Amino acid sequence: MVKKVYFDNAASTPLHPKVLEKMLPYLSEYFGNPSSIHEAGRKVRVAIEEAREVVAGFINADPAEIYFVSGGTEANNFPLFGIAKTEFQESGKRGIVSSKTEHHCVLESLDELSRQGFETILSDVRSDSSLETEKVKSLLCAGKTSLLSVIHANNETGTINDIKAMAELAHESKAWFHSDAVQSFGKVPIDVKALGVDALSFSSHKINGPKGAGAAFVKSGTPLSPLIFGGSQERNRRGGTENPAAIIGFAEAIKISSELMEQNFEVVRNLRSKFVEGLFSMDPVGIEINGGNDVIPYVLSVTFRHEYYNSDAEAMLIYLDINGVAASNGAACTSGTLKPSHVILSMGKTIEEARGTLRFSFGSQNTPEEVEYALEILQKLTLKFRK
Amino acid sequence: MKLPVYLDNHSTTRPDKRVIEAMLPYFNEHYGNPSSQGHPFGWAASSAVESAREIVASFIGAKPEEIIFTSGTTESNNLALKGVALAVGKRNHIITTQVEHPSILNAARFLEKMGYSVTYLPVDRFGMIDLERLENVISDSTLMVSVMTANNEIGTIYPVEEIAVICSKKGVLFHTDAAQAIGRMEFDLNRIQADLVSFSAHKNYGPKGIGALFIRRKSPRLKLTPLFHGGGQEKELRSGTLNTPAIAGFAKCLEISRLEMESENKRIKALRDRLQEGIFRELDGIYLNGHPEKRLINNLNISIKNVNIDRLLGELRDIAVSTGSACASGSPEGSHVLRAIGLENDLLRASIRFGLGRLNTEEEIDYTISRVAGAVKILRDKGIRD
Repeated sequence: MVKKVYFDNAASTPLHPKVLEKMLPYLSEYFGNPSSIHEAGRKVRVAIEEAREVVAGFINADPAEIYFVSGGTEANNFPLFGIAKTEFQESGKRGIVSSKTEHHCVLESLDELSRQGFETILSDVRSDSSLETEKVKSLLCAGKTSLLSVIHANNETGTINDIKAMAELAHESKAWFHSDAVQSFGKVPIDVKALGVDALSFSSHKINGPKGAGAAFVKSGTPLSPLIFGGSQERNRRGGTENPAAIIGFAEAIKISSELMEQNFEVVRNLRSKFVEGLFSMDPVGIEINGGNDVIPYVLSVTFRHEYYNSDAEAMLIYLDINGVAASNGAACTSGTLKPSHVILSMGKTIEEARGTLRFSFGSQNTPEEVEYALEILQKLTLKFRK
Repeated sequence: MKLPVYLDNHSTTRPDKRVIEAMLPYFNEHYGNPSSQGHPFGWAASSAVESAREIVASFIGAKPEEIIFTSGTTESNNLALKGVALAVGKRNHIITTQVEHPSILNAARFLEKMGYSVTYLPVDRFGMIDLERLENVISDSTLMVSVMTANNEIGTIYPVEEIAVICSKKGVLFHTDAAQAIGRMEFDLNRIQADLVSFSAHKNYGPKGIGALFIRRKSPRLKLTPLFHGGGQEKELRSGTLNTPAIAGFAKCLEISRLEMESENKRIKALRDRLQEGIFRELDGIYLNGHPEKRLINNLNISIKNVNIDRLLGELRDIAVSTGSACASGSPEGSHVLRAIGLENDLLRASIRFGLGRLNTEEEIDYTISRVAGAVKILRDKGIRD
């Protein structure tokens, strides 16, 4: 019997049944427009503001610092454009520093800002895809740099960056600090005050919440302008009828993550360790684990070295799929394209190595049996693909 | 009959049960990311998205490749205006109307700040624009005309088919915000030669959080700068994980409309006419806002003379209506639409908008007539005016 094992939780996760339960009333009887002044609207408004408090409380922010948006991509685009452009208008600073391992939604936003006249510099990273403090420090320039943006946990390798140190560096150079926390949010504790971040982006569907909801934290006093103009929703910073069902589902997913964060972390850490051990015992030389030691256990990046394997991620993924294992070759947005991962390349790996890299990403719903099953299939895969 | 009576269907509508059912499998069964092309979880999601795209496209007489999914009409409107303006270099003039939805007006104001020039066409007392005037203000520097298909406050229906002809003759792009029109009236892009059309699901018994922008395929290809940059979804025009359940729900609500809208709209129009006649019969000092004929079948916007509207709404807690568009509720200046049709202060602040919908019954309408008439009479008797 072919099983179906889902190890692509960094791309998206199943909705938690309790989350769906909380959402359903807002798809049916509580369907009002939260901007309406009648009871049907006001009820929904109250629920949205309660959800905002849940989100804010979870990261130690003020509810007025939380902006609900349509997802992680918008959550990143909005503060990047909003801070960079407003700061430019206020101080004339046009420098932006970031890293080569950011998610596409940060890199492409910075590309667009470059086309509009901003000067963006992307820092190199270490071979484990983490950022080097000294390197970033050398790129920041007081009086020129307006914004530093660094991913918290990398979506392809799981590598965690020292966000607190990065925020300090930015502030020493009088720059604002933003972090893409889409992959770490709900998985490791995040306290925006303790970390000292000015803006943080995160999304719902990576933590068993619904698609179509995300949020940006932007510290009060940070320059910010809207990306989407319209009604006065989100304190005039994001027009458009809110998506109450998704927002309420998002808050419920956060509540569940918050309660079970340590427990889930342990479950996933054990899954990953088991997976890594299995791969090592299979082939300690030809298979390489990426991302170093400081990684979130939710992501596992594996390179099948081309000296030993006919390592073509697409062919390997097809083999895995036929045998019921769902994994990926990188960010979901770019899967399907033949371009090798920019993250893997930035770690100093060759194009062949990047092409031979797979990502397994875990969720708390995954089981040790599923890992064992995947390892069985991978064992067969190593025999089939070995040179 | 269950209270309150919901008569605010221009703000949002209750998702149809069949719509919710169509969404459910995509929450925790086919939950993959539609962009994940390496496994069946992703394929199931992307095939749902693509078949939804076909349904959405065919509903408005478009091709699937002409549909971009967004988070709603506001995003679609922003993408249309900002996206086209920022992508096209030389032409810097945009024409729209004074009665557009705030998502158009505020996007236009943003472009003005960036150095674009915007003409806001005035309207007559019915909310109608003058096509000759439109034609005359189009110049060599005009990039785009944006006129809504139907007004969200007073329901006035604009001659978008003719406007599209004018725009095409003059070589400028035409965008229309069709949020209120979709499902309420025929809307066929084989006849209406618009270049860009915005619309969403939640005004038509679908879920919130999903909308679309139609971009006509023509040669040379229409260029837009995206609002969201990232993974390159939606032909690089709208990055971000596609919201599969909402997209499935969007398609379902249009599928229902395709089958039922003709008979349903007849029924709703009859209810609207009954409401209108009833209120005018019971009360004097009532003024109809909007076009007497060219008006959405579910819209009734009236101004009531000699009554304090806040007190009246306070009396009518069992009836969910609006005093303007939901987005502008609570704004002290009053409705920009009613101002544009020339209402004086006492009538400007004394308006009620009824938006009828699928679930309304004759009983609810009769109840509403008697409640409105009763409350107005009491307040007038007490002399509670502005």
